[in-house]
Amino acid sequence: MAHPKEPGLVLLPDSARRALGNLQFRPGVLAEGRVSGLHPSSHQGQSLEFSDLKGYASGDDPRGVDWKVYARTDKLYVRRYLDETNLEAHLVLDASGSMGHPAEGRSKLEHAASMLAGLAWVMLRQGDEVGVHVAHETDPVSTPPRAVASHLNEVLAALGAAEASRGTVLDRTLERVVGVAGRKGVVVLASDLLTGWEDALSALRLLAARGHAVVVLHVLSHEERTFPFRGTVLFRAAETGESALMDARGLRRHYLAAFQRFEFEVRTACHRAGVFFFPVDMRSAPHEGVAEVMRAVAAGRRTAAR
Amino acid sequence: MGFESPWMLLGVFAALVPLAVHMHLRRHAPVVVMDAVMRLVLTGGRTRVRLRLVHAALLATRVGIVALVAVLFAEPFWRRPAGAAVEARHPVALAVVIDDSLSMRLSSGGRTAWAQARSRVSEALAGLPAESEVWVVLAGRPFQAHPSGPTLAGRTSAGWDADTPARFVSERNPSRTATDLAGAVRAAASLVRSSALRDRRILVASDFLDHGLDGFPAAADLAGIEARAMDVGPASSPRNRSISRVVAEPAPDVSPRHVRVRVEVENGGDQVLDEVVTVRLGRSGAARKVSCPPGGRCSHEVLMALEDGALAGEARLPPDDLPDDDARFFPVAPRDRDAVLVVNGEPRRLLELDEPFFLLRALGLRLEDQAGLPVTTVRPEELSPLHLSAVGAAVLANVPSLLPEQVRAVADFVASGGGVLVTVGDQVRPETWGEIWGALLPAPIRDVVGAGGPPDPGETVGWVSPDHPVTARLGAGAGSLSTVEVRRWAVLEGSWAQGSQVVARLRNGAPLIVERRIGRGAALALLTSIDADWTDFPLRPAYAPLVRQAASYLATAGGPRPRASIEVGEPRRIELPEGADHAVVTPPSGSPVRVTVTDDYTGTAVPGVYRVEAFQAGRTDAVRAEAFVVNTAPGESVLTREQGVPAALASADGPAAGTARPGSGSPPFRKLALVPHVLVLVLLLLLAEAVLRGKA
Repeated sequence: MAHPKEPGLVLLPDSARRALGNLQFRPGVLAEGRVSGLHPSSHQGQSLEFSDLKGYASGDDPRGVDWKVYARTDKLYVRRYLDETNLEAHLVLDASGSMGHPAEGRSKLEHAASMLAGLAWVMLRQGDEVGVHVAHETDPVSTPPRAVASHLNEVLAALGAAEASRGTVLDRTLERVVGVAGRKGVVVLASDLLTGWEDALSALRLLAARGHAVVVLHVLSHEERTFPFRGTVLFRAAETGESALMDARGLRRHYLAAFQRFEFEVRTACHRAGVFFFPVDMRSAPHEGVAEVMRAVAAGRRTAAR
Repeated sequence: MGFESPWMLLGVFAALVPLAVHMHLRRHAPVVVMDAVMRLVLTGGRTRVRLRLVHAALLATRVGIVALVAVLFAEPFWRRPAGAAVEARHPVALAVVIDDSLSMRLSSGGRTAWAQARSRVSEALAGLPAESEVWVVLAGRPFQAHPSGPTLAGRTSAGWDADTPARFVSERNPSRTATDLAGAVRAAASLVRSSALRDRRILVASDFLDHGLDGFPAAADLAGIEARAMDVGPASSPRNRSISRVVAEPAPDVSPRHVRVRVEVENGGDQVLDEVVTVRLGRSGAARKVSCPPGGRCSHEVLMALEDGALAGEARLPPDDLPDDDARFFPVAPRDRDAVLVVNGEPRRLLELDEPFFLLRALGLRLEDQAGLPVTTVRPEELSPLHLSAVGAAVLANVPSLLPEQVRAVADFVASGGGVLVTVGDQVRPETWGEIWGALLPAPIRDVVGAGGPPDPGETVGWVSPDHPVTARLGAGAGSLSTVEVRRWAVLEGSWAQGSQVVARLRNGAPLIVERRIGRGAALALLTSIDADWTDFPLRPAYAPLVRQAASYLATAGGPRPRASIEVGEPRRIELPEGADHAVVTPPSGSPVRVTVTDDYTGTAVPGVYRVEAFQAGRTDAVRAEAFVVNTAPGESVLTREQGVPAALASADGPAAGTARPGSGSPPFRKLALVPHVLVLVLLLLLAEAVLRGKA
């Protein structure tokens, strides 16, 4: 996806920055950040948000005794408050050959990269750590998570450099994410899941079980959803090079049935694994999709209305 | 399988068009890079396999449609055995023509053509649906239809139910008659056309040899009828040899009791015939080694003595594959109606003075519309019944006397239909003639009178019967009898027998030509000489016409006579002579048949000698004995097969009809048109293409 223009301007134009400028991404997960941030921490801390009461024990700070409770119960309790920390996010971009399918003037890969760029921009602005993993045909290209503002350029560069390859190592990429995502955070996968989605979902299921907020952006073009072709068409697979001369009108019924079955299976599997599943409508701008996803995740909706 | 228009099969190459279109689209069709299609539908799974199969089937279907259309225009047909082709799903009007002639007895490979035809016809009839109308026409001459009238579907003629045709065929045996295949097929066409059923068919089972195909109906004559051939002919022309003709003629140069038997042998084989011909006549026999080149006809003579009572004989060759024509029967003296026997009563060394000099020239004269008559001349002492039986008329020219048995033979000859012209002359003795010839003349001769010898003028003819056949055609003037001068003539007694009449008179009223009807024949008497001794009649223009008219009249005076030699199946008239009340016909099988009235005898199915004896009531000795012979038709012995199955059978039902190669001997085949089947197949493929296109 090499572009002569600045990668940041391509993936994250000013219009997207303006639209996302007022948004915050709060996935609601109990984060295990290194520094304070916007997200609730799994540890007790000094924030103003009450957590629970705890029986007083020797060594506890007497300033924390809740005297009103003592007056009612004649026992000593200590008030505890939640901690707030930053979030570690891993953005995974599927750069398989099928992601190169052009639609609406750009490829699915570009659209997915733009969405992840917008998400990275929002999270970096709120102090979260963002790392990027691009699943290529060979070993994945990873950018470790960092929380500095200048890291955005590295993130955009990594996303902008992604090109659709013939195959993909999405499952191996996610296994790497499982390995490096030691602290609870967010894992976002942008993929069409056309290649080995069962293996990918196993890794995502493991991440979700560890307490990560796992989000799947199912990137498919409008053509892939509606199959608008007519006449005799030579269909070709970018990844395998296979081709078939088919009558598109007759094939449409079979394709749509298979597609609905595929999407249903993926959606159901994600739901059962506790993974946020969001079909991406490529007809809308990437930042609009990002905003919708962020709102849905913050609201705890597992899916977003398309 | 075959094709009416095989060159149309070149259109099969058009079947490559769908393949070419497929390849073209594969190269030039819009390309969509879309992994989702390949991943979700076309890679793995039943859908992918099914779609691949559907597309392959669709392509194959389109190729098949184009190829079948080309095949359709080539008009394919399927060869099926004719027997099976008779099978029908609905009632048909079927006439089965079976050739039961002599040639169908020909044995080939231990089985006769008739056996093959009977077996295959029975199989064909077994497959017919009920309610079918079936006739069986036997093509041996004369052809016979069974039943003769139209049958009614479901209500067959009396004794002719659904199983009868097959049973009838299985019980029949071939005849020894000639073939009337053409007549039989025409009769079959008439029969099936009389049916109300619309599906009309004729099945002709025959060896289709050339001798039976004359006058065979053309295709147009069988329009509307599906005519098929069941060819049971030999694979190749068999090497048949036969005796085609046997004639026994008197041999007066040897003795009055000898006959020359001339045997004609026909060698239809491709090798020289070296065989022994055995000739039997009565109890005597003779054998002669004969040799005949391939394809030739050879004649050999055998001189045999004629025994008393011998009426017929036989000549025989060693039997071959068609044994019935290896024997031939002959009457001792088959009567030649045109032949004339002249009994010369006054032979002279000087030819011009010979009694029958003028007579023989007149009989041998070639006229405008007829050739000269064959004449046999004998002396009075040589005259025998054998001579008389060989001719239609006899002339007794100035015969002085005859033995009593000779007189009886002449009388019997006349009574049985023959004719005799009696002329007088110097040898006539009224005293002896009255006794001897009283049975032939209207009355005995009383005297011989005349005006003396030349140059004295005689009497001229004064009256001629204008109605009598002998004189009716004589003209007036120079061609008439009016100028004839008669110097001497015989005078008869005054009391004439019944049935006598005067044909011509002299100017003085004396009868010159008289006639007496005796039995079935007639006797004419010229009461002057037949030469120029007593009259100048031989020198007049009227002489030759009158002699020829008299010979013709006498030969036919008894009306048509039963033939002494007939072919198998022909009726033969059995006539009861005067006084007889019945006759017994003894065929070769030896089972006598009693005949009480003059009628046609039809039991002539077997070749051989048939003896006929007439009896008077209450007597055991025959008043008359004769014989006739029955032979096979010579044409049936010619087993050439160059024409093959008639074209009418091949084209009667259009492109759906056909036959095997002529003379193959193999079962004939019928062309079953496959065009409707292919058309249905094309329509089914078009339907399949539409369905597959919807599923693809």
